[in-house]
Amino acid sequence: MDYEVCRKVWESQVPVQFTLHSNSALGDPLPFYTMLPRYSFLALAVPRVLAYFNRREDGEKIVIDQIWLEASGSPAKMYAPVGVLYDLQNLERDQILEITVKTSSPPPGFVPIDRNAMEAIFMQSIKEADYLKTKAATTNNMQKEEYAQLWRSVTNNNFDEYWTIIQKLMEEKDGKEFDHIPLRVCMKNKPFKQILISSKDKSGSLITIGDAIAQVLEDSAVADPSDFRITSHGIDVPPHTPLIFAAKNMAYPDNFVHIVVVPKL
Amino acid sequence: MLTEQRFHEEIKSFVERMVSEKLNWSLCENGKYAKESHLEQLPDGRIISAEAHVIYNSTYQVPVIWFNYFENNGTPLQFSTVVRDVLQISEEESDASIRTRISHLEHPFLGVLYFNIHPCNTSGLMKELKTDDTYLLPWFSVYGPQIRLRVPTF
Repeated sequence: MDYEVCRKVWESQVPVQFTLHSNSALGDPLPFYTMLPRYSFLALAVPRVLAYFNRREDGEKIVIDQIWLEASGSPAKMYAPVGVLYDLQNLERDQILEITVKTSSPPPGFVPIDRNAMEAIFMQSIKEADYLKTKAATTNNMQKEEYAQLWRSVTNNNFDEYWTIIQKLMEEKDGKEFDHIPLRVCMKNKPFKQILISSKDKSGSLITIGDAIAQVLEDSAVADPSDFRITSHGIDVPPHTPLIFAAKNMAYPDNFVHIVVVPKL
Repeated sequence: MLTEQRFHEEIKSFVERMVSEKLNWSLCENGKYAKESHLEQLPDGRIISAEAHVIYNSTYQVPVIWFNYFENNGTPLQFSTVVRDVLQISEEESDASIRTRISHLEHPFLGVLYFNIHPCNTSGLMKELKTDDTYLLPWFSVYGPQIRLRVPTF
């Protein structure tokens, strides 16, 4: 693992604006502006956002169970990394990610989630990623306190704490290379795609991000892959990047590499 | 462990078997997964609709049950209502403990949150069962009842 790369990825943040649409007779409060780490989740930011909206003493109190979130006309996934949501909008550099907080009836299947539900989703991802990498050899030997430490590092934005635990999760067990690479490919208004893919092909050469994306796009019947940008953490990922490098250095804290595929501007 | 190909072969006969037992199962997305739906009544009298899906998980190479419960207006029920009122899991087990085996995750075909019964122990457990003729039926006889789904006699 490369300390500098991991630290840069960790420290990257995006500007987010939350606007309340509550149809309140008193009108809605001014938007809430914040910088969010790319690795974080809207589910973790929402309590702070609602506390801001609920400051007016005469106003109605808005609780998490009655809201849903929207980003440019589509439901925003509260459980997806903020960086993924941001990149899916295909914005110009440093543009604000606009999230509307709505109290109208939600679109089918929208579930507002609290911190505990978010933690469960995060932990299931960690376990799945480790199953892909080491058949769960690492997570099976992790103490309860280490899981807690990892989650705490995410909720408290503590890189040092994260760094101690993430090194363990990215370690190849007994010199054995990762079986598979935890990779999720995200496209707008679609479920994320995941395929079972190794770091090397049969002849032993390294499989690249470009190879992996081509395979995923083929499955999704995308007409011409060259019309799309392959991005992660806000940058265009060189297609020749080996998957194993991405897995170790560009993974989000849930241990998955999240690649966002968007139309070229 | 179950290969994806065998899953696709078996899921058809699985659904046929369920239908022959008068259970409301069908295939979705050209046979990629199977679906069941029915109505249930909560202790407070509310009628809710239940949906369960059997989907192949390529990471663990096992089938997984995905499920949700909806109110009349289509709103999914909250975690606490699901585990305490519908699944009737005792208060002695904490939410945190339940969430190590049943929790939300993005549905692979619908792209919204559904509950799933975690697949991390499935393959170990299935080693204890006889799966020469069929994998899905013995698997379902273990996992289906966990969310109170009816299992055919076999």
